[in-house]
Amino acid sequence: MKYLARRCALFIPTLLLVLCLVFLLVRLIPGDVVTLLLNDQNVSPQQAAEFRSKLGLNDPLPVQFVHYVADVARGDFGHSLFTGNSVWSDVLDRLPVTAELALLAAVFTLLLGIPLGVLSAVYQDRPLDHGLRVTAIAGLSLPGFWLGTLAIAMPAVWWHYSPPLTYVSPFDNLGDNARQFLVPAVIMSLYFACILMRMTRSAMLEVLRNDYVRTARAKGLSEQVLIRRHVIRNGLIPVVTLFGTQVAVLLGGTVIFEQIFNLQGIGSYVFQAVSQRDYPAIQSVNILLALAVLIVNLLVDCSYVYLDPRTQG
Amino acid sequence: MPRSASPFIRSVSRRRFLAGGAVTAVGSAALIAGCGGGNSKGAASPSGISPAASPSEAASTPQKGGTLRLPTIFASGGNFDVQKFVPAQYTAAVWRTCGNGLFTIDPKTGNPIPDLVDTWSFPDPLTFVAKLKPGAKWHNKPPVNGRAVTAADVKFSLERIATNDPAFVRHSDYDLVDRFEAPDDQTVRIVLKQPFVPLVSALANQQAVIVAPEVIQKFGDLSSADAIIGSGPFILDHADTTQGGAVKRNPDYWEKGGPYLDGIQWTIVNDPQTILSGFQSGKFDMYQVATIDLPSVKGLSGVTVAHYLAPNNFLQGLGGPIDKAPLNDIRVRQAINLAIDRKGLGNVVYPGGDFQPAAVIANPAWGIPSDALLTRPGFRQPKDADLADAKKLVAAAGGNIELTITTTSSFPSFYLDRAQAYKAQLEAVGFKVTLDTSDYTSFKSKETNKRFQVDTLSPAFATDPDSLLSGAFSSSGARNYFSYSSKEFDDYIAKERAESDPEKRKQIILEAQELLLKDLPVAGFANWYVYSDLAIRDNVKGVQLGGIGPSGAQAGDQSFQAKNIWMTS
Repeated sequence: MKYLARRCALFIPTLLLVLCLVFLLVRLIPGDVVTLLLNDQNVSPQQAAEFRSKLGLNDPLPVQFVHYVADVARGDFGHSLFTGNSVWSDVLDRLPVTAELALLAAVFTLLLGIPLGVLSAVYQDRPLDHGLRVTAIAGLSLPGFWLGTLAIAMPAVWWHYSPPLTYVSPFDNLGDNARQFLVPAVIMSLYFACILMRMTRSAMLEVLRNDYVRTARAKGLSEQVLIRRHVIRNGLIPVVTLFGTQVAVLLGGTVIFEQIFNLQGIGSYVFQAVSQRDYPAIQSVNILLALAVLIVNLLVDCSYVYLDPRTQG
Repeated sequence: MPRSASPFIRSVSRRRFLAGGAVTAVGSAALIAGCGGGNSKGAASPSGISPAASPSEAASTPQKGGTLRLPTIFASGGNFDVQKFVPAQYTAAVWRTCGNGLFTIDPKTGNPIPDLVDTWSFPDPLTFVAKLKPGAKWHNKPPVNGRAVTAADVKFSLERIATNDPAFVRHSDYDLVDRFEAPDDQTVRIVLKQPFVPLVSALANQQAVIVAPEVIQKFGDLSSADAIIGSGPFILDHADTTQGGAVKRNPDYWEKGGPYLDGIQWTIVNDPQTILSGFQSGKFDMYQVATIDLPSVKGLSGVTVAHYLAPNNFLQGLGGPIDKAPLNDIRVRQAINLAIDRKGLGNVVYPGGDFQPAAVIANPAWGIPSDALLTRPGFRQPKDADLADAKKLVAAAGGNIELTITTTSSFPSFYLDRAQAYKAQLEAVGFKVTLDTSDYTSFKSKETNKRFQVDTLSPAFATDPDSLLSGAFSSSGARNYFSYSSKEFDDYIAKERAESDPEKRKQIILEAQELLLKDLPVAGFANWYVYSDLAIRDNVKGVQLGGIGPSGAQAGDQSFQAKNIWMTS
């Protein structure tokens, strides 16, 4: 419990650091939202300056930062400079899409990566292992956006089929939701599953070479029990660590897949926000993504206790 | 960059920007094509080639029913306050089906035509008077509950649009307006400070939607979709800025004929390939096809592709501030003008497309015809003589002239692709060219603040050339990034603004363009009359083409009238 509390307390400085970095970095990019809002309109530079001032963009950076942090501390993520919409409400609108896509992709990553990695290790240097390794390399080599584009284009050409183009909640129509999400989630997971498979294989092989495994075999433990009870659990620790770090990459990857499969999620939202220099939106989404990554990594750390009880002490 | 650039940004660093741009409003835009009868040959060809008629125009009796399904692009984000910031094309489309302006746009010609206005005139150069159509009424829903549209509503709306606040981006359209008046329920009077004939075009702008004061009172502004309450042929069913929206037929619509459709559905799609796939799989009824995708679409059964000349109201070319070296030397600008191979550049911008060269304005209604350009230095083919002359001019200007072309990696067909082509063409005559590439917002920031030498410009203008010409080239133009100042040109602007005879006004605008080609405030004007392709399912009828541009941005400038489109079962 103490460990958990300590880890949670560390969230605050981490999030502040993330916010500070995002806040500063995004302002280093030339141009601002006013440039776009008044794009090519007959607006004088004076009027544009007044408008900047109205949006608070002329305030000194420390003032802007303190205002924003104070608002976030009160649970107010501010309003989009571009649309005027509440950022929190925009995020809530889009969160289900990204959450479902990322969650499904993570599940497929685990379902594909770990079992195949174990199989590859157990059948080391046999045809199955070779086949899986070649497949993994191929999976790493093929860009996801290309596979995604093919997955949209080819069924339309061959069968005049395309998945639903507007978001369908699983609670409204599970079938349509599955048609919309399964393909992008599987394609998105391929890359990560291949990495995870290779890591699982390596970790397993390392464990399989340990003395205690030889001892267990010598004691007559069946291969199945040996793998399940002793090898997998020990081999999973680096794999789970890797998975934790990949979650951030996976969340970032949703941008491309949301674009290709027309899913209006957080990824496309933050992409737009960056293009529009919509500071409150960029900052808020980054905070939320950072929080998500922190939570996943906390869960990963907690899983060590289960995988290796020695870490409890 | 097109007016709706902001939304463009979200999705378009892709190869088919132009196609995508078109799609936007196709949804709406071609769609737009609904008003009036007749054929699609309204737009004059720049060189005698007639645009094809829309297959869906076949004369027969319109019937009610059907829901038109349209893709729309570049629409994410934004809100629904059409009178304020530049709205996404889809936002404007929803408003123009649910609402009316005083004027709207003829889809065949692109010219303003009456919408809420019954009769109108300029009794004197400083007064515009319009009588509203009798019987015009608001949607039968709170807070307006089907009451009549009055001149006071019009006055309220126009005053809101003209609010002197940068948030109301069209307010400068009304800079020359002294006051709006509503002497009685049916009469709108606009008193001008100076003669301003283009006022009618401003009133036809997509953002000049008339709303009732009660709506603003109830909702505070128009940003919420719930505030989409107008007097138009359709009533909002639902809309958001992430998925799309739908409108349904207004059962109490006050004008005869139309609407025929049960409704219209827009789906926001941010990827051109996904739109193509959606069309192939039967999810959409109309779609502006990129040239590269034509083979994929032409083979589909039950689909016809209309090929038509689409006016292009962008300012395109290569230019920069002419008060700074090296562009302050007219010889340098002339050399650039001669060095640019418009045909080769067109192949970069519209690969495989059907286009002819234009100069400043590529709208047949206002631009210099291709035939008149093709014999001129800079525009003629082959380029040998031009290139030789360009080399001489570069040498005369001192040689070894370094040019930095500022451009953006966003919307490559509009910017980076052509910047690379410019670079190659200019280097061929002795310029030393480097590219300064950044993202779109940075690029616009540099352009707006004149922190560039030359750039691949393409700001757009509204439905009337006055906006482009005065904004970009008059001495006080807010978009005059070229530091161009010419009394002669300013006089042309004053004259065209005061000239109510369309033919005489066109002549003045042509002369103004000729002056620009002589002075070269944009060193290399490079625009094109472009033919577009619209894929239409055979059961969609009443679509007219010719006044609608190839890009969503332009189409967004036009009104969206779907009331004359209908579908067979």
